[in-house]
Parts: sequence; structure tokens; C-alpha cells
Amino acid sequence: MLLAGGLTLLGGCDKFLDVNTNPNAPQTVSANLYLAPMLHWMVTSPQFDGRFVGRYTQQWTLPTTALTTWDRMGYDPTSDNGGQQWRDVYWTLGQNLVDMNTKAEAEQRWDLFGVGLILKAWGWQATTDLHGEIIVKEAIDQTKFSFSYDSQEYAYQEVQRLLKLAIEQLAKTDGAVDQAYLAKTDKI
Amino acid sequence: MKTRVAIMSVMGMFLLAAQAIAQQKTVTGKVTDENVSPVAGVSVVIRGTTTGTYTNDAGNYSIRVAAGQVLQYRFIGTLPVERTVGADNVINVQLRRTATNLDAVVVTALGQTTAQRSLGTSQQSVIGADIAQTQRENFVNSLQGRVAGVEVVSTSGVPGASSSITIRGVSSISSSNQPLMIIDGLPMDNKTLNSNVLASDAPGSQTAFNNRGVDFTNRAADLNPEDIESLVVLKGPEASALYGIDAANGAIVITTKRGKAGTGGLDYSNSFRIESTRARPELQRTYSPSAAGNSTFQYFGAPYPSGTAFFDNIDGFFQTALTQKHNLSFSGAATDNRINYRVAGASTKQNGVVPGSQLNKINLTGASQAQVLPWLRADLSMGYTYASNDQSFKGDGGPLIGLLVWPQTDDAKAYLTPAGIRRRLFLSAVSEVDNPYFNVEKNKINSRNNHIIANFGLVLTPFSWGNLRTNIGTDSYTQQNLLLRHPESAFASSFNGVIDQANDITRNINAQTLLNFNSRALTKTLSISGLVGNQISDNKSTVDALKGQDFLDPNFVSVNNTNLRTNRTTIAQRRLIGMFGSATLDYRKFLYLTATGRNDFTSTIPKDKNSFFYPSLSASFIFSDAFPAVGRIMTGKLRAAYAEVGKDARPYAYRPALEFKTSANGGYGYGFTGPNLELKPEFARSYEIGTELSFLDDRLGIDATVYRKQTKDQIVNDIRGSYATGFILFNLNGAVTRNQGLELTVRGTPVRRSSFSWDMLANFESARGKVLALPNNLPESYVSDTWLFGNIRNGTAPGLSTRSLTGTFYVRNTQGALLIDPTTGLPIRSTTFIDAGYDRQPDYTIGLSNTFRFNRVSLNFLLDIRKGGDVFNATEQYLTARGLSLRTMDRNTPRVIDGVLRDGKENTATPTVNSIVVVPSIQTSYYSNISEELFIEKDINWLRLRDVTVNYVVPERILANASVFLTGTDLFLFSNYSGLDPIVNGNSAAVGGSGAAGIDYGNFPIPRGLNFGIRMGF
Repeated sequence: MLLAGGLTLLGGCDKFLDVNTNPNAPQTVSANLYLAPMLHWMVTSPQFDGRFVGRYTQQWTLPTTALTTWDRMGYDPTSDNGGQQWRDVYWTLGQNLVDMNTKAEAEQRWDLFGVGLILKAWGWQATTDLHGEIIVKEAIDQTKFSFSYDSQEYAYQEVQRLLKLAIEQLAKTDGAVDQAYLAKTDKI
Repeated sequence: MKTRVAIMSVMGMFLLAAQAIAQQKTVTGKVTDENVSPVAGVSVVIRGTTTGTYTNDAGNYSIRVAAGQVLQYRFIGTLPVERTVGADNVINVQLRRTATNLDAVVVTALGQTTAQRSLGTSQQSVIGADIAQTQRENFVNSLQGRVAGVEVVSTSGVPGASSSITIRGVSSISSSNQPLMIIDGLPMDNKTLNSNVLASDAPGSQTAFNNRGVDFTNRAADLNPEDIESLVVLKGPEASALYGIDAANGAIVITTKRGKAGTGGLDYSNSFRIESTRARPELQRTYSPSAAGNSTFQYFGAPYPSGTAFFDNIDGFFQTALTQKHNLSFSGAATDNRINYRVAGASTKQNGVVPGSQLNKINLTGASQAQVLPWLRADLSMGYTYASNDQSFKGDGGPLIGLLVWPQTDDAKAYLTPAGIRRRLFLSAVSEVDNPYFNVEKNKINSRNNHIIANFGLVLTPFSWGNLRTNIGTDSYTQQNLLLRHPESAFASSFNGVIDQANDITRNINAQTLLNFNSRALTKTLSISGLVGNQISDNKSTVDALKGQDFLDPNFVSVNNTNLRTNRTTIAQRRLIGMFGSATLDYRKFLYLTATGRNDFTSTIPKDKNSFFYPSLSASFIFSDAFPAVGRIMTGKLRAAYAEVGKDARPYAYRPALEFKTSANGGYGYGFTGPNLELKPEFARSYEIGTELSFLDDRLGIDATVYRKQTKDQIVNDIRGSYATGFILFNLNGAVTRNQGLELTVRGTPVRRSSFSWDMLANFESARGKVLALPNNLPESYVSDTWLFGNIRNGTAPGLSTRSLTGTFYVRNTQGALLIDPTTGLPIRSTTFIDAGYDRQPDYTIGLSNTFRFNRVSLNFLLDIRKGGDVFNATEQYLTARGLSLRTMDRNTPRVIDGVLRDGKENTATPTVNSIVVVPSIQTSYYSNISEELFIEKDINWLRLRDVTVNYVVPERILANASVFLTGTDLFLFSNYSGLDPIVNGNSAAVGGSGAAGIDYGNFPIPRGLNFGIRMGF
């Protein structure tokens, strides 16, 4: 009897245990829904970092006369100051942009795919402008925990390649190109 | 074949039943102890059946039994006695209480009872009366010092504060280290609500609590201590292996009371308590506030003019708190002993020393056992608890910090202006810390909880070779939380008030079935017993949370009164199936070998790896029985055990979900935590070796255990990865931690006379937890909630203790001299979090309890002694940075800090010795930029009188069955800690890993209390 009970249980076990799909939020969404937050931070992030960059590129002065850590070729420890662009490209865009582009390409949404490629190109461009050598080839890989940096030259080449590809996509009118779909969250 | 077996077993049942009814008669008798006093609650069972009864308060019992059958008399902590029923209708029995006797009856894993001698693992029991006698609302707090290896950390001293409990130290870096709680055979939820389910704590929110400053009760505290019959602590995975993955940190097995008396009985007890706060910090009264900076009050101003009047804001703030508790229980058993019952109710009204803090609790429990058929016994128990708890905020911006920094020249009691709004002195609404009176009056944390535990159990004995025990039960509660940050409060004035509501609906369903095989002789000297079983658990919690900001009417407490509302739902579900078996070989009652195996299937690990098996093996050898020559002078047992135990991840850990982004125009994006589809269960391997010895006719007993546990592939939650992965945090396997330690329990009865006796019990523990590796060779892992003050957190790294602290401590040159900044003359702090050898793990702890009985009076006290372990006094650092601490009194003294300048030559043979003079009163960064390091107090020891009880049994001629008692809790504390109380938690029991225990920031100390009351039986 117990054995029989046990066997029935085992049969239903897989189904019984299959409750690990997060009910609080989706694990994947329609491609266009990834876009808005990325655009938001594309505009906002440079301003955040500008607070520190501007002291040097725009000759901003600080109200205090003390040297800041930045003036001494340092950074603000235990703070996110000056890290926003980095965070933007690798996290806000990061896997979201990969997922969006993959979906858009698969669904032949060439317009969205084009926008995605431009975002990717913008990310590398803006980040290498600020940080010099950056991680491009190995970026967005969750199986790795240490990464090789690429030269600035390579980053710019990649930007050019991505932009060319983007222009090709944006020129297409076939497939699932749909202005309304794209405009849903594309406020630019 | 199967049908035939079924028919045969059904026929067997009838035969058995028929036989049992055959020649029954009623046997009565009295059970007494060695002092010939009656013993109530002794279980009297017909051997091989589940038919039985208990003795009543007069020690009498009555049972229907057939001649030739054997009656077993069992009582926890005594030798079991067996008597064969003969011609006599009266069987009187004398039980012997024992200190360490190997034949004492003990409860083990899965609620089984066995003789102490057969146990190859380490466990320790506490009787319910000892727990109830401490008069603590949260029974967890009564365990410190009573069991070797158990450490209890209460979050603070306000009513309803959560308490975390760890057995054998901290082994998990980021997950819970608390043991599994079992009540009457089924798991009990001991969750402390994590603030991360609040709408205020949604990702990206500006109003997050991060478990800092807020606390909710740990739910096991809903249990009424008066309902506990006994509690057993299964210390390691060896003892708790059968409970599976949730018991990787040990288990606490609670048995609740059942009706015992042969006749109905009514018991009433009460307790009244007066509490007062123990300590207050000293503050300077020389220098006046300076409005320097825009943060809270700073005291770097001119000296107060002579004759300045000061107000004693602190003393006036704390109140003398009164608590009253009433317990009423009604229990008994039917005359034919087929049914027993116990119904009990309790009401607790506890006020805290902090104004406005309180806990109101109502407990209702009912339990009944019935011998439905000779082969079927039913056990139904239900418990309902209502608890309403008001706590004050703590930590940053909590009332204690406000109380300390509020100018002493101002009477804080007037916290409102004549117009009825918050009275501020001279800083802005956000900068000026809340007046403490305003804080406790206007800000609120209220939690109301309705908790039901129901447990339905059946024991079937249709066959003579064993029994089938099955339990199904639910542990469900609805916890309604309301957190108010008043619109005028510094907490929330920039949001014009924040109100959070969160309703946690938790329902846990557990079912467990055991098939027990009675001991069966294999040969003349060898016998075997065992069990197989399964367990199914389905735990689900749904938290519906909402937040309102921007109040219209500042004093109307409702979300409906707010302009901006957000909501959030958090569902967490986990299912678990376990199958297990155990077999014990018994060789001549002096050598036992037990093997167990359990396979768990969990929902939280990817499917291909979610089934995992782990074994345990334990042996017990009674060498005093094996070698009778030894047995003449002592009894002794050696035991050894090895166990493996797996542990799963939290729900939804391996695949991230998208978050609704609140940036412009909505949309979805990933959260911080990345995927890990390779996630697998972690495994601990543990062994322990121990001995139990007793001498002098059991008057001296020793129980010693050494253990070592190594956890591999440990899952570390939310550990940092490179941004280049596309994510920031990961849940990764790969940490290795090792825990080892020594536990020693010594029991003694120095005096045992009929009019006077003295029993003592000492529990010693020394434990170490060490991190051997982190996933992917990452340099540090920490739980971010613990980063609650300055730049210090519970960071750990390979080679460090599991309870270490990392921070931006001072940097030193290769010679160990402090590096001094040439521009300021102040020491330079590290720009990264570094280790500086701090460890919150005590060297050892001792719990010493003594009981004296003199005729009608008994005295019992428990001393809690701790040696070593660091505590971070953040409150003192806060006061120093603001010029309030007494250590800032020499602020005008010029000084040169010992060290060398960081001028490029610091690591050469001739570093530049610092000669820069600083005057702290001018250069206040001397205090404000001081490293946390200087406030970590190393090697904190304490001697604490945990509780002391004097009990007096009222003479029968005045009042029958009555006693009065006086109990003091936390009456004194001797410690080298300079703060208020070294038992603190900067977060709450909800935070995993080593948490923020030992980080003391704006925390109310545990008050001292004096209880008195009466117990009466009718």
C-alpha cells in the first residue's frame, strides 16, 4: 500500500514540484517593452557622470577649495559616483538589450532591431569615450567572472560595424516592421 | 497478492481487537518519585500498543488492561519501568529521576521516543516548566544558556522584538542559519518578516528600509510557553538528518501539552511584571550645539554659559513598564482513559519601557487524544494566536538616537508646537533628527497577526510488528503590518509622509507518514528496529503590499489619505517531498548502530538536480555495560556520528524575473541578480564524537561533544559579479565553510536530601566558523542590509571567520604604522572594504543554572557567561562624530597622530614620521571621518543573570495546589562593553548569514524585569 502510494507520488512529483516560475514578474516580455528604460537611462546616465566629468571638460568649479579625490587621480570610494555610464551599458542595457535584439531579429522587427543596434553602438561609444579600454568582445556573459578588456580602437570599429548594420535594418520595410509597435515605448 | 495482504491485515486487526477486549480488567495505582511525592503526567502504556493513559496530579492512574500484558511507565527524564499485569488490581510504581541516566526516555527526531542509550548523536532537552518559569513572551529567549551550543540573539529590548537562534555557530554566508522548528511532529514556520516585501523596499525605491530600523516578531514566538511540555534541541545534522534539508542547521523539537489527569482539572496562573531600562549612556554637558553642517545636531560650539539649565531628557523618556499575563487551562481524561483533552487560554498584555511599545497576545489551544479503536489512536491539536505588536523604530533616526542627540538644554517632552505640529529647534525638517517623543508618538510600526496551527495525527497499530503514524497539519497566519513615517518626521518629510501596509498571508501545509518497525530479534543478541516515511510540504507566502506618500491630513493614518500610491505583490512558494528511512541495530543493549537515509525533492533547484540523497550513520556504545567492571563505578557511553545533508536555494533563485521599471514610460528590465541555471544543492558533511558519563549513582554527569561540519558548494545569495556579465549580483554555488567546536554539559546533584536538594547544570560551548572559499574566487561576500552604519558590514573572505566584519579601516605601511594624510594630518582610510581581524564569534559561552529546593521553597537561577567576541558600538561612534561622547571632551588639546606620512616614502626604511598637529575642535573631521575600527570593542565578555526564580508552595491548609513565585529577568549584567547592551542586532532576525548581530546602533537594551504571580490548580 505504502509502495503504491509512493509510486503514485513519484509520478506526480514533477508536476507537484513545478512551482518555481516566478509569479511576481514575467521572465520574458514582448521585445518593445525592454526599450523605454534603456532610453531613459541613455539620456540620464551621461548627466549623472557629467557631475564629475564636467569639472574637467567644462571647467566647472566646486564651492570648496579642497582637492577632490578626482583631482588626485582617484575616485570616490564606497560610492557610485562616476560609475553610471558603466552601469548603464553593462546592466541597464546589458542583457535587456541582448534579449530585445535577439527577439526583434527573430520576429523580423527590423525597425526595433535597428534601434537596438544603434543603442548598442552608442553604449560602446559613450563608454569608451569615458573609460578608454572597455570590455566589448566578452561582455554580457554570465558564465564568466573575469573579463579581458578590448582596446579603444576595437571599440570604435565595433561601433562603426554596428551602425552600418543598424542602417541596413532601418532601411528594411518588410517583415514585422510596425511603427505603432515600436512607438509603444520609443519616446525618442 | 496485494489484495491478499490487505485482507490478511484487516483480519489481523479484528483478531487483535477481539483478543484485546477478551479478559480486560481495570488496574489502578499511584506513581511516585524517590521522595514518594506523586508524579503527574507519567505515560502508562500497554506494551506493543498505543493504548495508554497518564497519571493525574495526585500521581494516580487507571487503565483497562488484560492480565499478562505489560504496562510501561515512562516519564521524560526518568528511568522507564515495566510491570506485568498479574492478579493484583493495584500496581504502584516508583520512578527514579536521573541526571544522565542512559535509560532515560528522550524524544528524538520525528517525535519518536527512545532510550538515551541508543542515541549516537548529540541532543539536549529542556522541560517546558523551565521555559515557562522564565516568564518570557518569546520562548526562544529562554533557551540561551540552557542548551550547550545554542546562541540566541534578540534584536532589541522592545516587546515583540525578533530573536534569532543558531546552533553550533554560523555556517551559511548569506542564508538563514536558524534551525528547523518542529511542533508535535510537523514543521513550524519561524519567519521574521523581511522588509524587502514592503512596497517601500521595491527595487529603486527611495524609501527602503533594508531591514534596518524595523523589526517584526519571529513567528515561533506566537507559541505560548505555558503550552510547551518539552523541547529537544537536535544539535547537528547528525541528529536531525531525518528532517532533511531544512534541518541542516539542527532542529528544535517541541512537544505541546496534552490532557493528563485522570479527572478534570483547572489550572490558573498569572504573572505581573515590572520592567525598567538598565543603562543610559553618559553625554557631555560642556559644549553647546553648533549648527555646523546640515546634518543632525553637532556639539562643537562654544562652552555652555555657566548656570545653563539642563533637562534630563533621557531619564524622563523611559517608562516603568507593566506586563500582565493570565493562563487558564482545563484538562482531563475520560474515566475509561480513551479520551483526554486539554484546552487552554492565555492573555498577555505587555508594555515596553519605550513609550508606545507594546504586545498584546491571546493564545487559545485545544488538544485531544482518543483511542478510537484498539488499533487506532487519534490526536488532534489546534492553536490559535492573536498578537498585536507596536514597536518603535530603531537605529538611524530611531527614538534612541533622537533621545541622545537632542539638546539637553531643551525640554524634549514638548514635542509639538502650540499649533500642533512637530516642534523643531534650528535645523531643517529633514536634517533635524526627530524629537524622540515625537518619534514614538507619531511614527508607527504595528503588526497584527492571526496564527493558526492545526495538527491531525493518527497512529494505526493493526499489526504487532509496528505502527503507522500519519500527521497532516497546517501552520498558517495572516500578518497585517502598518508602518507609518509621519509627514512631519525627518524620516519622511521630503516625501510628505510614507505609509506602508503589507499583508502577509502565509499558509504552510505539511504531511508526514511514518511506518515504524518495532524491535525484532535477529539472533539472540542482535535486534533491529527502524522506520520508513515520507514528508510533503507546501509553503506559500503571499504579501500584498502598498505604499502611500504625500499625506493630505498629516494625522489621519490611512493610505486613502495619500496622493501617491504604489503597490506590490510578492509571492514565494516552495514545495518539498522527502522520503526517508532509518534502521537501528541493537547488540545486547550496549552497542547500537543507526543508519538513516533521506532523499529530498525540492522545487527551488533546476529539475535535473532537484533530487538528492544523503545518508547518516551513528553509533552508540555503552562501555559501562560492555565491561561490568567499569559499570560498577560509573556509567559511560561513547558515541560517534557522521551525516551529510543537502540544502536548497530560495524560491526563484536560478532564473531572474524582469522588473517593472519606474523610469520614464515604464517598460521591463532585469533586476540586479543574474541567472544561474547551473544552481545545485549545497552539501554539508559533518561528524561528531561524544561521550556521556555519569558517576556517584548519577549525581554527577558529563556530556561532551566535539564536532566538525564542512559545507561545500554552499549557495551564496546576491554575491557580486562583474558588471560585464550584464548583471550585478548572482546566486552562486561554491562557498566552503567549516564549523567546529566543543560542547560540554555537566550536571550535578551536590546535595540530595528529602528536605534539601541542590541541582546544577553547566553548559559550555566553544565554536568556530571559518570561510574556506568563496564562489569564483571572489574577494569578499557580504549581506548588504548589514551595511547599516558608516562603512562597515558583515563582509567575509576566505580565511576569515563566518562572523567577521570588513570596513574601510585605516591603512598601514609595511611596518604596521598608520598612514597619515599629509594634507590633513589624519589617518587615511582604505578605499576598499578590508579585513582587520575582527570577529564577532565568542571564544566560549557558559550557561550555569542552579536549583535549590528547601522544603516548600525552591530557588533557581541561570547565569549566562560569555568570553570574547567583538561588538561594534556604532551608537558611540555616532555620538563621537557629533561631539557628544565624553571622549570628545579633550577636543581642544592639540595632538599629533602616531604614524607616517603617505608621501611616497612610507614603505622605505626612512618614512616621514607625522608631525602635523591637529586640534579636533577646529578640525572636526578628526571625529567625523574617524574609522569604525576605533569603535569595534574587542573581546567583549559578560556575566548576565538571565533569570532567577523563587517559588513557594503554599501549605495545603491555606490553599491546595497553589504556589507563588517571584522571577527576575536580566537583573544584572557585568560586561566590559561600554555601550548599553552587547546583545544587539543592527538588522532583525530576517537577515541571513551572520546578519548584523553585534552591530549596536541606536538599539534599545533588554530591560530588567521583576515578575510575581501565582499558580493554582483546582
